[in-house]
Amino acid sequence: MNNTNSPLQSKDQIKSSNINLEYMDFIGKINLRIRDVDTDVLNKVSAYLGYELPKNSGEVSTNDESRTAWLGPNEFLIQCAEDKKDKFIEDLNRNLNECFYALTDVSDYYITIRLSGEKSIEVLEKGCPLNFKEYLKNKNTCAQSYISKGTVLIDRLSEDQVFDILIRWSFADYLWDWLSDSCSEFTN
Amino acid sequence: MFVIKCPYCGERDQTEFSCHGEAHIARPENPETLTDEEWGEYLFIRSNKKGIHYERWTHDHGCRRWFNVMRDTVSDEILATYKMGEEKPKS
Amino acid sequence: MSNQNRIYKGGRIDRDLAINFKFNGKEYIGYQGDTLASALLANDVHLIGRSFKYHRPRGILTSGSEEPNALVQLGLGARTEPNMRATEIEIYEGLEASSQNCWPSVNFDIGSINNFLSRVFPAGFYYKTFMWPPSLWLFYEHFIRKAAGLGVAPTVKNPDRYEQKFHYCDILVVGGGASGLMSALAAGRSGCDVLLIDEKPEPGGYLRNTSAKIDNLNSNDWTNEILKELESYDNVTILNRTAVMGYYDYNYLTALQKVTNHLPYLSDKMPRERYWRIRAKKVILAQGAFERPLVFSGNDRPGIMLASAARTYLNQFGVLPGKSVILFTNNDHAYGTAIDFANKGAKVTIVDNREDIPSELSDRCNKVKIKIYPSHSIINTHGYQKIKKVEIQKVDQDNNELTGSLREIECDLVLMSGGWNPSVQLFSQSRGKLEYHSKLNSFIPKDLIKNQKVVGCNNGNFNLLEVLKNSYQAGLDFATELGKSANKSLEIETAFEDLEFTEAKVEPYMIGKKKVTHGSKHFVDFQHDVTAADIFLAQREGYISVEHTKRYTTTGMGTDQGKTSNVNALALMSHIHNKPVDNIGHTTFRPPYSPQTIGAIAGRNVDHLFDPERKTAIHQWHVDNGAEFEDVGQWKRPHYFPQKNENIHDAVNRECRAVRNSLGILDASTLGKIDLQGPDVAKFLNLIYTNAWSKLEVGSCRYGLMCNEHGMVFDDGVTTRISENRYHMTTTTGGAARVMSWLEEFLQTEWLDMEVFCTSVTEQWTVLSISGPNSREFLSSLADVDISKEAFPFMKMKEGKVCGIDARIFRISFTGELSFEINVPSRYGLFVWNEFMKHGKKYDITPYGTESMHVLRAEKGFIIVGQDTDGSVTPKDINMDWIVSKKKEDFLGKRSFSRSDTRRIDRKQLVGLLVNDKKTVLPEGSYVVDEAKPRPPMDMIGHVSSSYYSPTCDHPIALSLIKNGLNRMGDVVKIPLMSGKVIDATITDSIFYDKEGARNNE
Repeated sequence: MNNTNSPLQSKDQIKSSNINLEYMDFIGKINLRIRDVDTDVLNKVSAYLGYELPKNSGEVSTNDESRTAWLGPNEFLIQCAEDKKDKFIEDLNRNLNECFYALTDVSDYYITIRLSGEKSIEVLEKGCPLNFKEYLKNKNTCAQSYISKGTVLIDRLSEDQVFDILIRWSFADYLWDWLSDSCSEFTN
Repeated sequence: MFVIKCPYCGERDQTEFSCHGEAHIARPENPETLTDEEWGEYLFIRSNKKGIHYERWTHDHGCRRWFNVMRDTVSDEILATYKMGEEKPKS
Repeated sequence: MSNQNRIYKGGRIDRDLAINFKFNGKEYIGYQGDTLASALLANDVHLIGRSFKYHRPRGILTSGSEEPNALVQLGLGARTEPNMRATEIEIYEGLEASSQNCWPSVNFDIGSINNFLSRVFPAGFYYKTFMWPPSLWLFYEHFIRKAAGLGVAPTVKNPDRYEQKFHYCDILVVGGGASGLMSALAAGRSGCDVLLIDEKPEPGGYLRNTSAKIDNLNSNDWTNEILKELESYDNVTILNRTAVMGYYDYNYLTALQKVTNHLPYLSDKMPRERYWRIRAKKVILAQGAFERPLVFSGNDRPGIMLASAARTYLNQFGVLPGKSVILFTNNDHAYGTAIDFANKGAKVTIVDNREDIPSELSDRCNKVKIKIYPSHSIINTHGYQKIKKVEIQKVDQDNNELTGSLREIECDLVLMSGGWNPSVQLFSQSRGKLEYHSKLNSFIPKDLIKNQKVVGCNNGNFNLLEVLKNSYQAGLDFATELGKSANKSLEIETAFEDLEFTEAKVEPYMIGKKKVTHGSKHFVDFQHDVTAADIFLAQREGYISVEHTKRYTTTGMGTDQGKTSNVNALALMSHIHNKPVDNIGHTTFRPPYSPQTIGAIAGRNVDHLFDPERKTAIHQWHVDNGAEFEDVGQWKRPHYFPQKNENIHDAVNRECRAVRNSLGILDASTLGKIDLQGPDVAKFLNLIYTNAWSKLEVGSCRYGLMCNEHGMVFDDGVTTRISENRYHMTTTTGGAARVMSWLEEFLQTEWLDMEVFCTSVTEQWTVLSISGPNSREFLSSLADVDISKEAFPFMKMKEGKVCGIDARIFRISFTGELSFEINVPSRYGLFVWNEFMKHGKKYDITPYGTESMHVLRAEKGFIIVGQDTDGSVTPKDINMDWIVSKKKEDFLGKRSFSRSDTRRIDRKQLVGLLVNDKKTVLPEGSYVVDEAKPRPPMDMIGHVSSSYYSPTCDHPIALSLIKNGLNRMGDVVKIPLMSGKVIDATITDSIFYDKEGARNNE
């Protein structure tokens, strides 16, 4: 029995030649806080994840198991498969025992909307003040900003225009409707 | 509308930020030992400069960090941005 | 006869593509490329509308966005738009437009009686006439409003789509004329990211309608070559039909692009307009200049237009708007128009203010049989709906008086040119300073702001070759500053404009002061019907500051913002005061540059996208079960759940009784939630909250009050210790973001060494609050943890499974009843809620909304921050001194409790109020007084902050903030209502039910 619900499950997804809008299933999302000067913790986390944590704004580090976005100088978002989440948290807690850090499960805090297609940036530019000539130019980059009136994390997954937009659950319905309306110019 | 260089995220539109008033006003160590005048000074008195002004901003729709801005209130030119805890640049 | 004024060939129109359109109900034919103005002129229609105040017949003055006269109502029904400039409207098949400000028709307009009454309608007429007695203003206003205004606003919602777009570029070039094209070319060749914006359907500006030659090409062909090159660059974007509206700090500019509104209606998916928000590293203003009208008696009749506009109609649209033409001018440049008209077969006469006409000019005129009257002026005009005749007279240059005999000349078109004004509006908006140029007799840019250049005529340069070279150089210079360089230099050798503009006197009013008399019609501002006489009057009555003159006469305040009138008005003031124009100054230029639709500013932030509606995981259930919603900040919360015919009172009474007697359920997911982790959390909470946190055990909850440094309550909530170093804080729904920011502020700016991290988890958890005497029995069947009274006391938290889902269960209560708050990850929220509804049937589980929640908590005297507090009350004021630690050395707000103001004994304090009639529910916000008077003012001693009918007590209850209230128990106070009725009420304790708190300890 499926006992989960998403705020976007009844929305009509958009598929067209130049713009697509889909909602994504729940995946594991873990907020990680560490002191930016704390190399011990950084190293432990990196060793466990199998890659260096992103050092600067806009960076995303990734491998087959997880994907970690830079949120702030001491804040990261680790995304992983839903069924790996509890193990990630458990293992990290064990490895970081005695350190100062925070791991918080935010899997349901954020809803992921995927925007793709060659008109994606044009759709985003309608409501997002980011300079897309400077930010989110390549795959595995991210940026936080807002789209219309919702604060978002935008994560670029591909050299093609494929963006995962993370928005707080309560704003997901609003942002979906806004994005969907924004796409209509291109779906004739 | 300004372009603000967040010390962490780079140049962004002003609308991603909010301003929190004058910077470099430390909370007194032992408030209980202050006179009413001294406490009132901390609570209410601000320099309201014409010219170089230091102020606190947060990157709300970004990294959520607080940082300081050095701004000329006449021209609105932002002369510097710097992280919390860093020395304020000379005017 | 159709298109009788169209010439056989030439221009930028396509004579093979005829377009049918209607003006004032009559059908006409124009051609692809025509504007409404050019098509009407081609059909010999000169009378377009009626003026604002005097309802005088008006025609077409200009050929662009500065048009003050030819304003029309465009389109029908929901899409109708008033005050559209016929000179900018591109015609399309089926276009319908009509005249404005006239009734019953533009040809016969009742309102034109004002023209004959103009002696009684001078500047300031309304101020003087309708100010007394003040009580009648509302009566006058009704009629004034009806008579004022130009077009008619649509009465139904506009169905069009308006888009917006953020855009970044290296170099923004505003204006696509000769100078703008050159700057864009240099920047484009250098590889800069260039945005070129032009108002017109195609760039080119003046090059499209002059007889200039650049190298061996005519200016039109040359422009096409340049455009072709620009279009070949991927790094150059050209926006046509786009007007830059605002120029703000840091090179932030807004622009309005017409996307489809020059076309017949296509689809509701395509935007009508797009509002651009542009951030440019460098801005080059290349907006050119506006030609100045001359101010003379009767200078507003249909058939009188600017020389350059006429030249545009002739050369760009192939329209000869008149065959018997008089040019009235004070400069060389306008002669080009006269010669063009003569070459196309018109009979042209030139009336020139100046005594000495350069021989080159008179020779050229002689060749095409143009007669010149030097040292002459037009002093009057004739023709009601169209110009028929002018009177001219010689001007004595020494004393500026009219002399000699009066001569009449018949004509069907009068062209005027009083020189050129650089278009300095945007430059000035950007904080650029202007200076008066004594030869041009106009304002030009003086001090540039950072990262900005002004080029071409916009900068006061009217020599074509110089303009081309300098503008190109400006583009190169900016490219160099951006670290780029062009691989090509400018190859232009020669560029000749037939006649260049170097200087012009401003002839602000016609020769001889005595000619401007009370009620005379020397128009300065055509759109607002401001005459030279009005400017004189304003000076006589003391409105001598330029800002005062503007507001008193309304000159420059029309939809054209004085683009054609401002300099003439200033020159007139300069003449009256005998001071140079520099000393008169100029008024402030503000956005928007041109009229713009509100729709474009709103964009798609309309209807359900106006503001985010935040929704919980249970939202759809609430909708499906008939909830009435309440907006709490951006959240949509169920207000109450009416059944069948229930009104709000019935529903709330039922919901409250269910909670008190059996089992209620509330979606409390909107509460702010913050995950706090780290070894120093308890220390941190000790500073943030007023009470002590050091001894809170794992698994325990504690209520806390937060104060700001002024000692005023600003949020409250329950914080629970989840594990050794982890706490779960809840905040009020509305305070969530504020509290989060407050915590981060102190962690990031004051206590940098404190080892605490906080993370918002508001939406991670869906919170189901079950409340009522049956809640334990109900929950025990669904939870896998022991929730017996002994195992799970009040203010404790347990983790376990509820309905098979991992949950945190908090035993806390906001209703005073035995309650549990079950937190589950939001994806399971709806599932658990549905399970609760299913299994709760036995207890008649009743969903309740925020209204019942408010009633239930008020019965218990629990405050709501923001309702019973307003940022000016301390914990002591709300009788919560018990939660303020006396032992802690420091916490936020503590020091302020000992300020003289917070120690006052007559502060407002939170008390209960019971109405003596036992039935009136006091309106929240009502004033409380000791002594009621027949009407305000009365000495207010407080106000009612919360007020409800209590179904539990079966009488109304209220909470109130009353001066010294805690010491006035039992006193009777008065509450005067809006109706005039006065209600007596008794001050009581603020807890109305279960004072001992026995029920939630069950």
